Amino acid sequence: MLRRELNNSISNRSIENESFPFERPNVSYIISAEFDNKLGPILKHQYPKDIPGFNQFSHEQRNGNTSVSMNLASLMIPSSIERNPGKQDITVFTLYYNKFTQNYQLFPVPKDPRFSFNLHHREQSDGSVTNSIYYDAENHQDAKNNRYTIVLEDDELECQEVQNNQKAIDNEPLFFINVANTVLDTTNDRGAVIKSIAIGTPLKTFFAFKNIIVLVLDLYMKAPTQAAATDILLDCFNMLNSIDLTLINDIHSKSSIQEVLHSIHDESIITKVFLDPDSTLKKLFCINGFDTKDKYGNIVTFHDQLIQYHFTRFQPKTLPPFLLKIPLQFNMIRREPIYIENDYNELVLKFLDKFVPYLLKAGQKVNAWKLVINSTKLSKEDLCAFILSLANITATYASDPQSYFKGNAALIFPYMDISLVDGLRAYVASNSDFVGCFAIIGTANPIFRYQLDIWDYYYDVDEGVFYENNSPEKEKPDTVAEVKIGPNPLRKIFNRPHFSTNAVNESQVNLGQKLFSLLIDEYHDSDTIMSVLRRLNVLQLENLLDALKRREIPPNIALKDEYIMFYKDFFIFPEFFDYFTLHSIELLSNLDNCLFSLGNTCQLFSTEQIYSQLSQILDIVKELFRMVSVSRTNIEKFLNACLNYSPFKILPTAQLHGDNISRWSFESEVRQGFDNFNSYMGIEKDPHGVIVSAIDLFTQIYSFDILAFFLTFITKESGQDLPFTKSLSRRRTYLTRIAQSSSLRQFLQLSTRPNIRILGGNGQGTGNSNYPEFTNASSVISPKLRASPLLERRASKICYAITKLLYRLECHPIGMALLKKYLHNQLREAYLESKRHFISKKGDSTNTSSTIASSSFAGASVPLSSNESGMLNGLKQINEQQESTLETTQKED
Amino acid sequence: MGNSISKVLGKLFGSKEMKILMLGLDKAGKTTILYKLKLNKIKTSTPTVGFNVETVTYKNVKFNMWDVGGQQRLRPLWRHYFPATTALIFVIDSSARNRMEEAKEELYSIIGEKEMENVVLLVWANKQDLKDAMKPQEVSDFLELEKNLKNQPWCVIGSNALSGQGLVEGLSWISNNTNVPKK
Repeated sequence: MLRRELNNSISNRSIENESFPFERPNVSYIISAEFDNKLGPILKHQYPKDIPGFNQFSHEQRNGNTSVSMNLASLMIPSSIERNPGKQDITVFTLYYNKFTQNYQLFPVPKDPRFSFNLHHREQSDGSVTNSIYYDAENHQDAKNNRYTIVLEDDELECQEVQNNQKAIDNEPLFFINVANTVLDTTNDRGAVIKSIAIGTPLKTFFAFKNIIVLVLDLYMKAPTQAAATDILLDCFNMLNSIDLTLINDIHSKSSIQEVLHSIHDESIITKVFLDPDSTLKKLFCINGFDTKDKYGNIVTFHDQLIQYHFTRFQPKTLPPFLLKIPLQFNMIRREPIYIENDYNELVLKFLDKFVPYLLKAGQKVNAWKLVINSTKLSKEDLCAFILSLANITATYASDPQSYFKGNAALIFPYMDISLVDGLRAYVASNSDFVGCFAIIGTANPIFRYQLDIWDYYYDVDEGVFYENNSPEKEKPDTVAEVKIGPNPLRKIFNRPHFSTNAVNESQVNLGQKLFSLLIDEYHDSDTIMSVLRRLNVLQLENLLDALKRREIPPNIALKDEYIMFYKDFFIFPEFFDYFTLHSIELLSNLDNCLFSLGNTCQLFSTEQIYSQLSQILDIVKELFRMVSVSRTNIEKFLNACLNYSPFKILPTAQLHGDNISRWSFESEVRQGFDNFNSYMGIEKDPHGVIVSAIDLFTQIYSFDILAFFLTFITKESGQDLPFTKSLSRRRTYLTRIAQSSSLRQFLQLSTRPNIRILGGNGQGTGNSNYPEFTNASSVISPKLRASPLLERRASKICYAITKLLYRLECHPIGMALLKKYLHNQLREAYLESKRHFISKKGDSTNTSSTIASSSFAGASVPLSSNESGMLNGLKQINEQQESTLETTQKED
Repeated sequence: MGNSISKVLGKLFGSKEMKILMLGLDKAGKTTILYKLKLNKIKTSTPTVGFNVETVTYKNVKFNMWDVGGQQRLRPLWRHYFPATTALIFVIDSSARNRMEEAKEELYSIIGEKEMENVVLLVWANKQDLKDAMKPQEVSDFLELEKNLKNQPWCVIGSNALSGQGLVEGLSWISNNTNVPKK
């Protein structure tokens, strides 16, 4: 036995020298385990070497009363695997590197108390940015915005210690995807053989390897000898590392573009964006020079948003050739921090619907919680995926830089065996000196329910029942975010009644729960569910920002932490908490409100007041333009904000319900808000009369309409109408006549009369006689602007600024697709006309036909300057390119 | 007053519910017993990875029976299953004379735990159908239960998981020797 081990050791070392690349490998380890009839789960093989900290021969290191190697083996041979012989199952676990011990371990490295309270703010890395308003998201740092960029000193130390790829690899957590199976075997004295193999990788896309290791396990279990089985593992390890995944890793690492892409849920836009692989790589992801092969010569193919790597260069020694025909497939859109193959959002919704009330009920109690989720009916793969789905919406897993609350990341354990309970206790104890330990632990063993010291909440998925640990010592008071609620009607939605220690009752309902219930009842798809959660996050964040502005006491915690304390929705999307995105949302909201105020028929403004409103709008638009002009990343972040922003007017009448949100009907309010908004914006209703659900209405994208809305207030100079604008011209002529009519003058003077109805721009009644303020705003505002040359000039400047802003967005490949999709017809026409107008007026160039907007990605090739003259030059170049394209098209015709 | 009557009626006509922990060395027959009681069938024999838990109802008593794997490295995990245990069933392979000492050590290790001091103990001397199986009295004498367990109710019953012999008798004994309030 000893000789065999020595031989294996020597063999492993020599193979390691030959095949383990210095560069970052796709797979760092491949390991196997089996169930020994006398011993239980045991580790069998580890390649290319023993995982530091999990050496199974030299030391039987113990964590409590069980060895660490057994803990690992227990995760690989999950409970109940013997119940379904021949049916494989998957578990997922993570090993964390401890730089102090230089070992891997199953629990995150506890924080060192010496660094805990030594918070500081990193200096701004780009000294050229002198004004914090024009923050460049690419730098990710700004000393003036410390509430958003607080970091720990040990992060810097760890960063400085990274000297090369090898050290980076060693320090990274390793994600293990494990496949196990039971095969009946009459020659075995217990009647079956139980084995598993797992691969450890620093890649969060580890599910991509699932199909291959499933097949490899089958081969491994059928291997006639131990040596043959070992060779299969070696071959698999080398095969998975024979592919260069740099391209997909680079694509996934571009966080700002990825955030925009995963906010897009319209397949037609995705299809358009990914239509041409070359264009996708160059223009969308800014990756140049990629051929159809990776650097090892393996063929790479593209299909829509999928990228496939084919094993065309690897020569297997023991693996069958058919295995090489299975490509590694990745989605270029990184929709979640951890990629999950299937849709588990139904489980997520049901969980949120049940768990959020407990968080609300917790009130002033400690904010840290430990959650155990148990299911004996779900497969281990489904259980792990469900836990990872929850981790994805808390944005905290392994190496994610974000922490969940007050600098503490949550422990995510997709599947935990009872053998790890002692380790969990030790981990929790090691974190007890801090704010607390958040944990989401999946298990398939109901005995966890009896371990009262390791959970605050226990969720039995199978029965749909939540248990709360009511130990008296856990009821510790904690600071609640102090938020002053103003009279703004939207704020009423977030008012909450006083919480008691009694069981969750109906009055403890927030907007999130309203949405969860609707999403569940209406059976929405996964994309819609995520869209709603993100929109809710942004909506509540906007409300919180407004409340904090009126706060007397200066904030002393990070905004994200304050958000978690106040709303307790469980989920959070950290991409909305960076300064740039927050400011974008704020500006969108301000613009939205200014436009609403300007078009409010209940108020009569003087010329000076209107001028002031116009000046505010101009300032907002100019600021937006300056922000997005700084970098491409800023454009992408702004687009993401636009995709997830909900117009204020969608839910304006919530104030009528006061604090009784439990009786407030989200459906009727949103539907009414939707109708009002469309009337206000002059957007025509769907002529086909399609009935849309409240959720679908809530996820409608109107940000681009809001940006372009002001363009409809200005009519084109007389005498310069073009043929394709006849219908628009006719509509404006009609508006002009209305403005000149005596009846309208009377209306403007007597706007306080609630029962007056006027015709909208489309010639139809508004249908909302009870809400006169939602009359078509254009019909109200346009006459006001023309009443004064001063206002008219101001409005013209606004239109010019808006045109520049939209054009800046249009120069981005995704921005172009979004504007084309989400600008409603009337607004798109206004934008196109404005664009042509300013080109003609400023550049003295000839007008072009309506095909000007159809040039795909043409604008992206011409860089636009942030100053006015440079902008005009850019517009000329784009116009020239489009004319050239048009001429080419005509010649081809 | 209404609540009081309800409680009294509950005690008279309600059902008992017990958490039963079934332990023993590997291959003693725990899982076979569990599913004989639950399904009245012989389940295909494979080693238990982790645990099995089933609810068996007998004479208005609900037995939540936990069957935990008995392999060597799994035994340190048994203690995690101790909380809230009403009765301990220790299953012994009566034919494995060479492992009887090992079984005895594990049994006393269990009942020596504070959490298990007050549980009732049932020993199933299983596999009585085998030729060389020790009789229940022999098992009892070997385990020295009478000598060592003065304050803890215990009983050794012969069983045959394949035929069901002794299983119902064991549950009856547990039911009669526990004071679990009715629900």
